[in-house]
Amino acid sequence: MASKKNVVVQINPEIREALLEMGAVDAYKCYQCGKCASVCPWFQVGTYEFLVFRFPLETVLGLIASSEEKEELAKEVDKIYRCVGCEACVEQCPLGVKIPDILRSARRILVDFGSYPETLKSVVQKIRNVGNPLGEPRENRGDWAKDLNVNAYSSDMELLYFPCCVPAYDARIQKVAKSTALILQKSGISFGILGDKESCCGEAIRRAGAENVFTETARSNIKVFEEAGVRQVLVSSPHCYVTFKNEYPDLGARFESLHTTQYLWQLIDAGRIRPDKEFKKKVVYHDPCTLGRQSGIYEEPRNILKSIPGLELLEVEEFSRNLSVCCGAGSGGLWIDWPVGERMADIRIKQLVDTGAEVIVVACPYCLQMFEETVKSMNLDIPVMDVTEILCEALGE
Amino acid sequence: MKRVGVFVCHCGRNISATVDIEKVLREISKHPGVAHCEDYKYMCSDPGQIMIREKLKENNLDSIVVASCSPLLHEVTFRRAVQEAGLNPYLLEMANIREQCSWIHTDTDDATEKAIEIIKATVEKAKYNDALVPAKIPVNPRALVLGGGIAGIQAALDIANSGYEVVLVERTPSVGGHMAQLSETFPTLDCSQCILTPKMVDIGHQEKVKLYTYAELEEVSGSVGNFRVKIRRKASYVDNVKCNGCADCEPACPVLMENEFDAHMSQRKAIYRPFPQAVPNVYTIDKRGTPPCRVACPAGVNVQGYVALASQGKFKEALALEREENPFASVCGRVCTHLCESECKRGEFGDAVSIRTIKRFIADHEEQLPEHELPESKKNKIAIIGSGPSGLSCAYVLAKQGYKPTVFESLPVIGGMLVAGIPEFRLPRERLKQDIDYIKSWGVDIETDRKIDDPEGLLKEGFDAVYISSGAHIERKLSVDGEDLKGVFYGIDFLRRVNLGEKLEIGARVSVIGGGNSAIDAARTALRSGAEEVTIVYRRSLKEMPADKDEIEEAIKEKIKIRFLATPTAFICGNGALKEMRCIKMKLGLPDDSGRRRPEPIPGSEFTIPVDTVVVTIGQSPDTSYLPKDTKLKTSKWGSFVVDDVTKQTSVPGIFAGGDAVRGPDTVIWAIADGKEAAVSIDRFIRGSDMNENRTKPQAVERIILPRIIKDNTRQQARTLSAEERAGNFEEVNRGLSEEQVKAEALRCFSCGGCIECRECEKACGQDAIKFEKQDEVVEEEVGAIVVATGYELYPIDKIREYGAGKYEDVIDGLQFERLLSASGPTQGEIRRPSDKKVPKRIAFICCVGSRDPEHHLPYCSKICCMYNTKHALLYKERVPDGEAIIFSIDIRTAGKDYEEFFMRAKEDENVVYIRGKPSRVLKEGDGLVVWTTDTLTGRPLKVKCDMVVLSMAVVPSVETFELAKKLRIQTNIHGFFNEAHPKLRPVESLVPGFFLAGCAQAPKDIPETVAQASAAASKALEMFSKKELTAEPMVVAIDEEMCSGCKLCVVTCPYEAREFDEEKNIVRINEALCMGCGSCVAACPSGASQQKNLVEKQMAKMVEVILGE
Repeated sequence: MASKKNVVVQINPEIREALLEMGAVDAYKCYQCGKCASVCPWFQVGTYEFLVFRFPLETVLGLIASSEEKEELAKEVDKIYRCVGCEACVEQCPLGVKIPDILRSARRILVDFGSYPETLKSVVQKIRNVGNPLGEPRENRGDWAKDLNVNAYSSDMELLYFPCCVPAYDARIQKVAKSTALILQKSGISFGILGDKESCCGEAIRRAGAENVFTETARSNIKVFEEAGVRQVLVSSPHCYVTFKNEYPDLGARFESLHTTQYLWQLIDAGRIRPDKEFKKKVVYHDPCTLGRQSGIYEEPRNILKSIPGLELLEVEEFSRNLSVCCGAGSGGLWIDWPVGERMADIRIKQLVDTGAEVIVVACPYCLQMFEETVKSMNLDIPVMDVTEILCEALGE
Repeated sequence: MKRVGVFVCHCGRNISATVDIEKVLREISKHPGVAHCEDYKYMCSDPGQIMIREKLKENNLDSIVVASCSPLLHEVTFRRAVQEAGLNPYLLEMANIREQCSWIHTDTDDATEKAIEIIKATVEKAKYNDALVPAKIPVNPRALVLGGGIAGIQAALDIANSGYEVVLVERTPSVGGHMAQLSETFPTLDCSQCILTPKMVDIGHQEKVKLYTYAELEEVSGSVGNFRVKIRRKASYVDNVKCNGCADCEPACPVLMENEFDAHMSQRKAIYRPFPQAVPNVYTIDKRGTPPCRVACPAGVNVQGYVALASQGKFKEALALEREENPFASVCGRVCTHLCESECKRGEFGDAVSIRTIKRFIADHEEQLPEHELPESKKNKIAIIGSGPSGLSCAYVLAKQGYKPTVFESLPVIGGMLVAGIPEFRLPRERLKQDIDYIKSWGVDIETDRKIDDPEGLLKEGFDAVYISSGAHIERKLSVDGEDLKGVFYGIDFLRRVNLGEKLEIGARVSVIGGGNSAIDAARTALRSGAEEVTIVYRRSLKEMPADKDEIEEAIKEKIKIRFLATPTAFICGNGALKEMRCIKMKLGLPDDSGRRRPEPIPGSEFTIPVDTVVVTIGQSPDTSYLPKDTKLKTSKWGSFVVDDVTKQTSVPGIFAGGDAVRGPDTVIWAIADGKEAAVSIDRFIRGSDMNENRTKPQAVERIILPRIIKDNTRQQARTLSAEERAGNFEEVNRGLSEEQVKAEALRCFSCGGCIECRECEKACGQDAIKFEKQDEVVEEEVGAIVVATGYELYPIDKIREYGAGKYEDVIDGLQFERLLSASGPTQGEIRRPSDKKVPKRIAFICCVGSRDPEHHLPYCSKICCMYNTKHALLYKERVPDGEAIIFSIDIRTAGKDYEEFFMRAKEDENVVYIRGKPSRVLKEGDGLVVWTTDTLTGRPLKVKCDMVVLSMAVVPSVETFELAKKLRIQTNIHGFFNEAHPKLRPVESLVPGFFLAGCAQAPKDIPETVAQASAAASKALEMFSKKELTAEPMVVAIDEEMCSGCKLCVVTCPYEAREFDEEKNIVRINEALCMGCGSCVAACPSGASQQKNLVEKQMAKMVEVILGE
């Protein structure tokens, strides 16, 4: 007799303890007000029911990832990997419950058991093997700078520029790294790169649950930076920025992390560079979750854009700054292909285009890649640019 | 040596389970001085106490130590016990071996060891205790109640009805508090005002209650039983005895302000009564200070005043008020640089109020000059040189005081630069004439064609004082080649000649050099005088251009070109006439003294412009070359008169100067300001009084109350003539605003300063009750007890941006909804939403807004919102039966008698919908709103469309609580709620004796609880009054007079002002009635002269020795 699934379940203290140990420490705080569920970008997507507020109580009851049946578990895995770590819920939660940390603890368990999405498995492997999620050869990591006369980093330089894997390898997004290098050269800042010595910062795979590979990669980076005598790292990706700033110090790192928008605004503000060339367009700025909500950097990218003559800066009314909507690329989302109609980027692009902007501006390589692909898939004719790319043009480079 | 008896309590098993009592007894009995040692299971019980008394006598003990619980619990018990046995109670000490030992340790050996040390140390202290006798303090049986809400009213009535006097202080003009604002009360739905007003009336009539409304506590001194308080009675500018509340003044007042009683859902007048049932039933004038516009105006014009009068269509009164400070209403309504508008608070949220066009309208609206009585004339003669705005303003002010000023004008026309410098298309001559005629109507003589070359000579001719306002007429030159060619004009000369009717030869291509208003005027004049193409050449960029932005725009509309960042280097002749102009391009360098970036020529960037006529308009300087050689009048190297900044007096006493003659080319309003200032000085000079006294400008009011929703952020636009209509004539281009536009524009004013002193109310009042001369008054009262009932307010709604608060008109807070429900509210009790006055068909009520949100707002539960939301929903359903009420909550808390039943009634009888989920956003959708949330019970994400949203804002202490707590020196928690002495057992007393707490000042609570607490606070005060005298704690500080060096460190340290300095003996004395025994002075005293009784240094040292095992 085929046994029916039992819907009345027991509290499972073992799973609870495991989750708490992996970092789901906020689970007990939550009072299930449910605000997180309508703050979550999935609410705006509207075609996938993602009841965020249930995770803390499910943790306490030990019911997350508790299915023993294969099909049920697959559904749960899909659910657990829906969170893009944008932290909109954390920011709005009356109690500051860190839902993404709760989900990360669940993911750590799934990764330990090998029960996680295949595409992510391959990304984790690639990072472990060649130090980048694209699977490109390690030795080509510095190729983007070939024609630019960029030096290898030495300890007498002011800055190490760490471009992030996507700008280092992706043919389109390499322009972000190149623009950054050109601006630095124009302003006379001494900087260098580490090329094939450095690896991915590991942020995405940590959030995807691959804690061990993250720790390995991070340690190798820290060692390389230390040996090179690095004091300040300039990064293009907010993801590298928060990881270097908040997570590497736990592993013994001793260097300062600076995002390009912070640093370049300082240069403009101090008069070291002056954008003179007109950029006569209406542009809308998309706050990357990791730069805005998670790092509190809202003004610098806007200040850079406002300093460019002719540029008209637009805002997405009701959904900018801390209320910005995620592109969907965080926490491994970049490598998971959700079905058409279930994509956050589509929603966000619509909001951005509806402002009447002629250019969409971002300050994060993930957002840039996600939006470039989305604009194509939606058959829209609107350029997506990084703040550094516009600044580089306005400097006449 | 003292014979100490030690009694060790088991406290059931509380102590004995952890502490080895046997061992304690063995050890303690060995300690020197211990004459008796015994244990008992419950020492606080009757048998325990009897045992102590018996052993005390039996063993002839003269000091007792009870080792048990905290003295906070049973010190009183044991002291009473030994006292009954004839021992001074202060010879008893308690050793706390429960809270500080047995309860916090688990290891018996360690705990026992610690208990022994604690007891030994206490024995050491006990050995040196003195027998103390508490002092008696008389009680002043009179209470002060702070706050006139329901809590304060109830407490005051209870005390007064018991036959004691009460002083009730209320901050606002009426008692009643928030309860007066409410519609109905839960759970019985009694009409709030109906049940409150009888109590308010009682307060007004109770003979024992002395009521101070519109008053604030200023200072408290003294201590329990004998407080002295100072109360500031704010000036209401109305005589409370004469005012009968008839309301005649209200319609007369032109100033509209935010109505606090309607929770900013409506406006009231500056003279107001919060609500018709107010107690006392009198009016109050809300005067806040000088508005920023008036402070900004160099002439100090009552800007907000005439704007307010204009908003009510009182144009004649508005003009009269304007003219009190400035006779040039028509002129300034057109050409003033309106510094007032730059400071206008409205400007922070869009366009500033279009003040200048309002002024122009009220001036233009005048059909004939007003008649006025001339003042009694004075015989002193005053000469004024120049009939420009400065000279005429000076003459005007003097003439109004009865002087006979004579104005000498060198030109054949009156008005100075106003007539010679400003073209007719900006200032029609009949409008200028209106102002001049008005000035003349005060008896000002003006002699034209009279040039004065020797101002000092006028004094000799018999004038008592002279004001020089001869302007600035020397044209500044470019100093380039060809400047003297025919066809090169200078701006002011050019304008004067055209304005006075001369026909000039003007070519087809005209270039005007300069960037000021005169340059724009010259360009537009040239265009109207036959030029075909006019170009302004300016050496800086648009941003630095000093001309009025409106004027620049008009010039551009007239197709005048502006060539920025260029300057001429030479004028070139061809065929005997001007042919072209060579220029060089400029770039902007670093800022100069004026803060504008300095233009620098770009080498090699020369270019030429073909021209027929050039008008150089780069400024003028004053002409003082006419002065006699031996003049004593000091002039600067720029040819201007040197004057005192404040008095405007020159180096020659009795001769004053101002306007462009001092400043160089400047604006009309500064010229007027100088003339007025000089007039003040001249009057004082003649009367021989101090010219410098009281001449500082007022500060702008700081606390500006903004509307709930700031809208109408663009100003009314005046009609201007089209380019075709302007062509070839000097018709006035700007046609001003219509009457409707002016009223609408004037209503945009925020009324920053409140009352404008237009005195319209004074005219309307039949009781002679308006007293503008009233001032704040500080009264002193003596009381024995103080009840603090200062209430609450709601957490500011605009802190909740995600719910559209402060942005969408239809997102309101709970008190605002109360006003919508109230029959006396802005909609007379009809539920109509603010934006379009439609009846909302679905209302979303959101609970816990600001409350229970420790991450962003406040951690606590505000307690009343669940219930009032339910009440709101119920009342709404009653008024709008086909409407739907949806309450979004985290939990519904209905702890109270009949509260759950009330909640069920809302659900069952009225079908109120409760959704369990905290919304994340409120967004605008069409003409309605949409709430984003999740129903956590069904697990369904929801977008709920509704017509209106009511937010249950958190309850916070009223804004002045923190200040008040400092004045009263009583504690609050971190949120500002006053702390009770004990959360369970002393809930209405403060820790500081003599202070009692009632209502929401202590914590959020509903009306029944508030009233109960108020009565409790009253009864606590009455308990004190019934005693006649209080026993003072004798453990106060004593001063060793031998040791005191009179350094006074303790005097400043003492928080209770319990110290006086004896000048004669050079020592400090203690007022034992005021000393609270806090010990601050003991720590502060460098010589050790300050010692707390029974806690002297020696005792402390002995205790420490024992504990350290020495």
